[in-house]
Amino acid sequence: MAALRINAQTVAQLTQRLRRSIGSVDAKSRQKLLQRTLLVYIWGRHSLEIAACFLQSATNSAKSMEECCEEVVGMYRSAATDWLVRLSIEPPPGAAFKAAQFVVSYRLFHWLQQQNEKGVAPRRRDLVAQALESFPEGMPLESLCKFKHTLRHKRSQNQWLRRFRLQWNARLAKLPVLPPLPLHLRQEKVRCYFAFFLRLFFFSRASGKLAFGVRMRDPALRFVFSITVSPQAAKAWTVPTFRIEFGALFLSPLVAFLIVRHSHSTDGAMLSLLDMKTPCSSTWLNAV
Amino acid sequence: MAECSLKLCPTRILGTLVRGQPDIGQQAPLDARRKCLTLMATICSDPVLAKYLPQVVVGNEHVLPHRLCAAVASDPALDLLWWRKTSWITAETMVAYLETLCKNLAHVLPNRLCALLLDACQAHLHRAVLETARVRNLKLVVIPAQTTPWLQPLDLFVFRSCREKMEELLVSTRCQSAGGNLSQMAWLRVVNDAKQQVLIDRAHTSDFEKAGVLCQQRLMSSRVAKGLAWKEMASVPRTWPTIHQVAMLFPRKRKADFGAWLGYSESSSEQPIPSLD
Repeated sequence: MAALRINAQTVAQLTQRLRRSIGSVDAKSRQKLLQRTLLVYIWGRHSLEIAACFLQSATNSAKSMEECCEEVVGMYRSAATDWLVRLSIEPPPGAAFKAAQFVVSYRLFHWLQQQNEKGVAPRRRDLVAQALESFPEGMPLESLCKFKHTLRHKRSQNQWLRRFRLQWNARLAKLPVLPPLPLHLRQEKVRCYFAFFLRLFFFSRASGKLAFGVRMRDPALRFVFSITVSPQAAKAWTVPTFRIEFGALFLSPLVAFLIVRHSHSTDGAMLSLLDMKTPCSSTWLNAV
Repeated sequence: MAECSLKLCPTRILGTLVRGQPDIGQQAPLDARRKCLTLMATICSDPVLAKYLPQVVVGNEHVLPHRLCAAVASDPALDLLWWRKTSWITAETMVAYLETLCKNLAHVLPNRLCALLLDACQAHLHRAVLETARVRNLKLVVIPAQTTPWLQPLDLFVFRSCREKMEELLVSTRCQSAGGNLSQMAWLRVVNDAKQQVLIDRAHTSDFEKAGVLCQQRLMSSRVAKGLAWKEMASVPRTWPTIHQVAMLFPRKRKADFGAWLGYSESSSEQPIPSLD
């Protein structure tokens, strides 16, 4: 019984010690987090966004940016002024290095985004040069030297950039070439093409006639004429190659091959203009 | 000596991109992507002579408009930029290049044996080129047709790094510019810097050794041996090659005067031997 009692006491003592140590670890890590967050806030030119971003990434929490911003404000307000002054003048080396590294990578990420928007994919040397330029002011010399040492060789630069890409969701890739026309112009051109060229020819199955309606804004060019097609050809939905001459109104004759595409519709079935043998003159296109 | 084309607007350069940006891309119209200039480059196994070798960029007026002339003329770094009717190398351009080369090497040529390695392109094999070289005491060595990927030191080791350096400098310059665009003048400066760093500042002795030009092919690179499927270097025959073997060195159906090319004989009275085909 005595032995059991002694064992129970030992277990209770050990549990108490463990609880105490866990509590101290929590307090220590909380203190470190506070120091780092406030250093990021100070070195980030008192930008709440950067400090909140740091807090979010450091705690891996599911908190929103607004909540993180509020937390940073709370931290800053609750900190004593003399402690804040001491922190900014003589920051603890570990916290200073981590905070500075975050500020650098944050600024680098934003620079990278700007470059991408400009249509440039920066390479290793550009990124490293920019990282060294975006070092926060008021940073202790020790941390600066340590950071420069990290980016000393090509190999270590690549390692640091690999971590940077993982952290900020970037990748090594080839920048695509943008299409020559902006989207709205492309849409406009395609709309015009469908509205004009593909509506140019109408087919009337019932009458066995092909009616050509030239839809143009210029009233001088607006006319319709028709051609009779044999019933067999109309039935088979194939039209032989033929030549349309628009006379003196047009500079170049238009030769088109027509193939019936919409076989299920009846009157006014649309034919597709698949190939233009003679390119349209500029007059023709300008008239659209 | 060899030529390579330089794209005025290189695209699809590898770099760092942020994920999830939908509309990012390089603005590069098709006509700009198709524009090229020609770099006429020469390297030397002796690093001392590197600064005397002309590294010329040849462009036509469509690629480099004449309004650039004044700007280029005022910039001493861009002196070796030639405007021609075409960016392709012609015999006329080649003769002008040889004359510039010989002028720059005027203090060396009388005392040293200088041989210029050339590929067997049509402009290089022109009679006028040979004549210019003969007058200026410059020996021309023709690399057999269609073997330049294995025998030309520039093609083997230099042009690739030159293009890479150019891309690197181009990206850096575009990073620093406000809109990400590059003026033609800035592009020319980039080309000039790349030329300087790769062709002039670097020593190319090992490139000649690896290409088998120096050290009796003892230091030839494994890449060359692999390209020729040789496990060990083939021994050079003791006898001189026959005229038909020599003809094999030149492109097919090209009526080159082999006698003149080999011996620098002035006479062209003999009928040129038809090449093998």
